[in-house]
Amino acid sequence: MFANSYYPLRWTVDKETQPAFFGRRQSPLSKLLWFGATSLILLFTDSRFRYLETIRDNVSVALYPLQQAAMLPGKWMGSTQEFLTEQATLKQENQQLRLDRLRVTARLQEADELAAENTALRKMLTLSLSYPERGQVSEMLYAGRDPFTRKIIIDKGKSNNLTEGSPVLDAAGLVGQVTRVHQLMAEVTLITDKGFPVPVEITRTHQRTVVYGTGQDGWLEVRYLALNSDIKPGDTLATSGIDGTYPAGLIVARVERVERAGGQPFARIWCKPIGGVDRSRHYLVLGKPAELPEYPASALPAEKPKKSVKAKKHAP
Amino acid sequence: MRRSHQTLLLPVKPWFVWFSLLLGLLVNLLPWRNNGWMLQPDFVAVLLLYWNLYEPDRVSIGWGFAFGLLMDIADTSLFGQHALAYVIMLYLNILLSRRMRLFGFWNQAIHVLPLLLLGSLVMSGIRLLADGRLPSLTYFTAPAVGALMWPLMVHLLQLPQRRARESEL
Repeated sequence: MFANSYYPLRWTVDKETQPAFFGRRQSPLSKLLWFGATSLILLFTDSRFRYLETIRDNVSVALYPLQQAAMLPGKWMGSTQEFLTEQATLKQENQQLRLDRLRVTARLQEADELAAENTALRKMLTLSLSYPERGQVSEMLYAGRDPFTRKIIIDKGKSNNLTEGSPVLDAAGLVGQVTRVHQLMAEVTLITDKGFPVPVEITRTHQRTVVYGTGQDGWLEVRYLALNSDIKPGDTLATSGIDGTYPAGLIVARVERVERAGGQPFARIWCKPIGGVDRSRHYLVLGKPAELPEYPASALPAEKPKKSVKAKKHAP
Repeated sequence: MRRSHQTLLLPVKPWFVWFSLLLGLLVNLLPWRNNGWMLQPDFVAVLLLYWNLYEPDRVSIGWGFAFGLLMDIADTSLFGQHALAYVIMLYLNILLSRRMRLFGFWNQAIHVLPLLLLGSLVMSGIRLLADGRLPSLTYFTAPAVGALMWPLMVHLLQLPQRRARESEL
């Protein structure tokens, strides 16, 4: 009853000097301590262990309509823009696409033939097929507002059988990797994310190396290549396929600048991603590539032999 | 300038508080194109500060916690990152609120700026501790834009309450 009638009194009766029976409200300080401690605990559990994924999952489903609604203005703008494009532009684009299609069809026929040949050869060699399953086209919902990481959210999730670790590309090249899968959407970490490694090879020399994200938009970095290594601006880097995450041959980046400073052991190599990492709207999510065979045990670094093993060895 | 304490306001409708906060969340989720800049302010934070200032009984620290968690999920940031920042901001807002209510909108904005900056600092501190990442300095332009936006936003938010009163007189 008092709770409903406090409006007229609000600016005259000070809450802190109110008699205790007016409100059983906690003091701001105790609330601060309560909620502050809870969020600290949440922070700790989320950064150390990933216990809270199910909660994240469920709430993200609840947020989905809101995210879809946030997409609408952009979609409307896109459709009005489409409506207003001139016929000449469309005609020109159509012409271009026709030419492109011709070119692609020729390549495709070649590729079909090669794929068939490859399957036959692999069967002969009894090798498992290393081709990933067909990809799924998905649309970017929004770019993560988090300024600390380079991530985007796409509109496919568990319900479309997306799995963590699947590579994500656009028409031009590799864009990133699925790092967290919710029910209806998934989070893609872009290759420009700070410290994000992609095993690549320089297509000209087949030198294998690793390219890292820098955390800045549009820049990648190749670390730990010797000063005298054969790499120059204009070289393309493509995935090498040796990590079992990315299939081989996806174009990743072009080398922009190579600095060879005398005082340093490694060359500083700056690259630009070729895929539209922060431009594209539509992406292709590939399936996971076939499992690689187990790493041979003899090649693993020698572990300390356990006592029982030692005893066995000495026994005979 | 019209001083906020001089205008008598009608009580706010509860649905309007909810509506504005959900709208703020929606605006935060819009696919903003950041070309190296972080110009869009955190609308949810600014709205929480506003409602906490004018409706302290309705929107208190708990709301900051709840909306912070929602932002964490929407932003794919660490669980509790926004929540902790909002909770601290709202607490300081309560401490300042009695003075702030007496001021005009621009003076309030000057109070809001350090609160928003502190929120950004808390978040970058958390990320620095958790995974050693620091944002670029442009990250701190967002609080400035948020504070600049304050007078306009307060004016818009008080419109429904004020108009009804004036027509009554």
